[in-house]
Amino acid sequence: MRRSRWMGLAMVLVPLLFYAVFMLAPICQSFSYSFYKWDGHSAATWVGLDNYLSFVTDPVLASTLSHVLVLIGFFALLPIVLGLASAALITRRALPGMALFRFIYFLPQVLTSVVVALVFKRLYGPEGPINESLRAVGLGSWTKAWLGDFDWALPALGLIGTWVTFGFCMVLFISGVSSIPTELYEAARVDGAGPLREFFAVTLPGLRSQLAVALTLTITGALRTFDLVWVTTRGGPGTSTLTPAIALYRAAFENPQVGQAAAIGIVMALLCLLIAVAIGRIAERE
Amino acid sequence: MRTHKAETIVNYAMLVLLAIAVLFPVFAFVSAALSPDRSGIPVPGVFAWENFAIAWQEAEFSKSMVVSLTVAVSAVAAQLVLAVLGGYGFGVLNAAGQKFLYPLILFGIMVSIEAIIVPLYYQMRELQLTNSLPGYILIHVGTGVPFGVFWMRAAFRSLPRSIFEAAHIDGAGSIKMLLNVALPLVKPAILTYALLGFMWTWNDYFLSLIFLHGDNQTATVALGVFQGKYLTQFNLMAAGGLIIAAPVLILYIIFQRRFISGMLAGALKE
Amino acid sequence: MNKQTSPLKFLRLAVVSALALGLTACAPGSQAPDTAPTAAPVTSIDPASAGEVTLRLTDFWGANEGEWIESMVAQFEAKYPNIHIERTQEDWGQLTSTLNLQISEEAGPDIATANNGWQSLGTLAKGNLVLNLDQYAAAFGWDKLIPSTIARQNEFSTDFTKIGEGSLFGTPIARVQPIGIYYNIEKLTKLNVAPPATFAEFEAAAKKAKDAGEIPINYGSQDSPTAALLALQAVFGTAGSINDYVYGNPAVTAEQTGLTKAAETVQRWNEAGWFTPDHAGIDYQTAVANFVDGKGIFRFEYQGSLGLSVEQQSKFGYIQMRNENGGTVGVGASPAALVIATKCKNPDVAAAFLDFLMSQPAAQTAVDNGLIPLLHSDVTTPANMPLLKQEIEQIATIGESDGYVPYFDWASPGMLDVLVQQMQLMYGGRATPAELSTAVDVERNAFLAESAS
Repeated sequence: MRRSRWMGLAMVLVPLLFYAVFMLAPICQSFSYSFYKWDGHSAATWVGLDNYLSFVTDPVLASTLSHVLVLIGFFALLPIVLGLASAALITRRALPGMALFRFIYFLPQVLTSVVVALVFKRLYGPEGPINESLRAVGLGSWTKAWLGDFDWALPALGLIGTWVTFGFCMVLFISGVSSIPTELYEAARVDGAGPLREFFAVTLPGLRSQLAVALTLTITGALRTFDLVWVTTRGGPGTSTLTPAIALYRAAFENPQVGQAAAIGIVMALLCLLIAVAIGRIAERE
Repeated sequence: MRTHKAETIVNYAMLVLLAIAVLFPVFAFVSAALSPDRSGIPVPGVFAWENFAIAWQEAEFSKSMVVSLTVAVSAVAAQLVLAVLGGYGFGVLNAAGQKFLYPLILFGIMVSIEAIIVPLYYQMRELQLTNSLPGYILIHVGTGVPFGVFWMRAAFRSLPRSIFEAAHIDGAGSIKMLLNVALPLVKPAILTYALLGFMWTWNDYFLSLIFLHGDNQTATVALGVFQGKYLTQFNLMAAGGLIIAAPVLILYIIFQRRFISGMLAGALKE
Repeated sequence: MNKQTSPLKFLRLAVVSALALGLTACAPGSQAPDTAPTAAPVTSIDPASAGEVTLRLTDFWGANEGEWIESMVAQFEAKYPNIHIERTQEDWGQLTSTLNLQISEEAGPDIATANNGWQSLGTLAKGNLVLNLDQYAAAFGWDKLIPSTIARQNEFSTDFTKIGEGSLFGTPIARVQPIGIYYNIEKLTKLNVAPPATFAEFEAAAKKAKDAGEIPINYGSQDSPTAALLALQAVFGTAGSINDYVYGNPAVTAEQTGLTKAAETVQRWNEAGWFTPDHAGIDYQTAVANFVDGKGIFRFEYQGSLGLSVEQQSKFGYIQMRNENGGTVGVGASPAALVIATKCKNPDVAAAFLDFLMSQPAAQTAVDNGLIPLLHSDVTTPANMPLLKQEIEQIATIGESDGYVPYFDWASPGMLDVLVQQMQLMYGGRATPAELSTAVDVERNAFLAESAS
């Protein structure tokens, strides 16, 4: 078997090589770029931690993080609550036709983000279905340019995220519920637990790993939002929907401040990692 | 039994309600695509099917769809080869050094593309691989390694050890064993991975926005450009959107179970 | 998650490997030359003797402008059958934001349209991505052809601390593109209002339109709100102050260029409901399309950007509003700076094409396509183009009062972003016109300070 282990090494070295060239090396480069001020062409100057400190000193960059917090509410919390509620309500008996519903709920997951953005650009437009419906029911004064309004643009973008992720969360939870041993529910009923207590005592703990996955994926998804914003608002109005990924793109390519862009990328990666680790640890500890 | 029936009705009512919430925006978009009106406001009874043909021509989708297809197919093919090599090496052959190497590869699943995009761009430029399809495909292949190896390793490990031992006794070498014994057994996993990989590559926007321009544009970026290039004709834009979403949608309709179970499994195993 | 795949373990690994590799990495960009780019030497100015050459051109011209460049390429290729020009069109935002990437790529364009000023042309020149054209200017006689007011729009000092003087890094084309006001003839006639010439007349007309239940000013501020602001700046500010500001005279403030007053005006219009309702949710292409479709009476727009067919042209008129201090002030600039990539293998041929885009045939082709000529006055206006005739007359008033100014957003690399964001903040009730001007000054001064250091 020793020989096959070396054979195995030879095999894994092929993907490893690609991985090293296209991921590991750039990560390390990113790290070293982030300590420089560089316009992408002329010589770079060492600036220490300045690019990281901009998250504190530059109010626009700092605001991208608070925008992410709002987006997390819409990308992660709302779909998960919705998904949990529906998973809990739906009987654990197999419902005929469930396959069709699952097909529908999963649809936003396979649509390319550019199309999703256009779908909602139409929906939110000044003459789009939402405003038209408001006018039709006599709420004409409530109509607005949803994606051009300082108060509404970010929540409106967030709701797109809710639309995209909630089906995924729901299907994930429903499949999780169906794998919770029936005896646990029977035991809870014997103890006289109502539906609410049953949910907290049996369903929720039984969905621990699904919850961890849903949280990790949706939160990191919110943190990394790019396509949706790029196609709809480009960060506007003002900078009210600017996300770290948009700031990174601008810093990297539009007005090159490459070091700053690299620092944003590193911060995003660290946050993603931190979130994954934290959620993983909490799920393991339970 | 009454409660059972009531429960079923409530369940269906909720399922239908949520389905409407998902489908309504899509429905509004499709009706915009069929509208004869430039602003996309549907006209009852009138379906402008020619919008698809006009959008196809005006946005020159024939060019960008071919690019997207070339990229997706070749990237997936290469990803599969790497994933099988890595998965087999780790999962069956217990490659030397795997205690260090496998976690190193898995780490890549957690690295977001944003963390590498800046140096990647400048390095690719140095290698003259920006705005080049091979360069762009290579990036997809390289960044697809972590998930691919993880996925195929799990697939190979789920096979019973006994079949490999039997083949070993028969004197089959590692490569022969892979080709004749293991590969046929993991076909389902390969198909699922190919579908997911195709979808991810096809739907990519960020990378192709940065790495490809002009004639090399993928369909997703071409749609975004279509938005800014001409006076807005939302009906055509919507039609264009449906055109570029179509390939993945068709695959999704045919292989829906694989897509759903694959994405759930992929997410859960991480 | 099982033990083996614990994320903590990855983290530890990642840090170790990152440190190991990070230490070996060197500073980025250290291979870049520190010397200032010198002017490209000229071997031949006759493309006919260059053999078979293919050049890649990328530009941001659509509509009438697109037809103009297509025609110019065809004429050039007909004149020199050994030269082939492959043209790629991208939209303005897409190209200006990615040009500095594209032009350094091996398969990137040899010739491209850049936005003048620091945002695009300045960055390209500073990065040594485009050729210094001084030698060509001498060889082709551009120094005599291009008036100094136009030439300086493409000039930077070779230490890249100053704009508006020094070496030539881009060329204009034989077209000029000011910002003016288009109006819907039918609607204005219906209101019984004559085309306004002064600011007071314009406001009176707009008020009348509002009272009649029309949309006075077609507008979309989601991505491109600045044309109205800059047009008004040219009404309130003097040509001298705007020139000084853009070319980096720190003594002039944005307020003194008429910017604050312009901002106050658009804000007043916004509050009075003179703009298209919900303009914050309308993007540029949609707004233009709506205007051409007959929504709104006036629209502030770059000349020739409405993409009107000959038949549509008879429906619209053009006004160059008079300056409040007398005369007319307006943008006197070519709609783009043409640049040659440093990596271009046939710069002589590329320069010959640039020369062709400044020639008399280029000016005539512009007129034939409903665009305003520059550099040459010996052109004949087609008889069937009343709008163009009016545009030429109106725009001529700028030259008569020596009121040419550059585009304001050339002042610093981030100026356009700042203007867009501040205008949106203002419409959202989150900034005052005075704050807008202050933000503009802060952006410009920070840039001046940085380039001086």
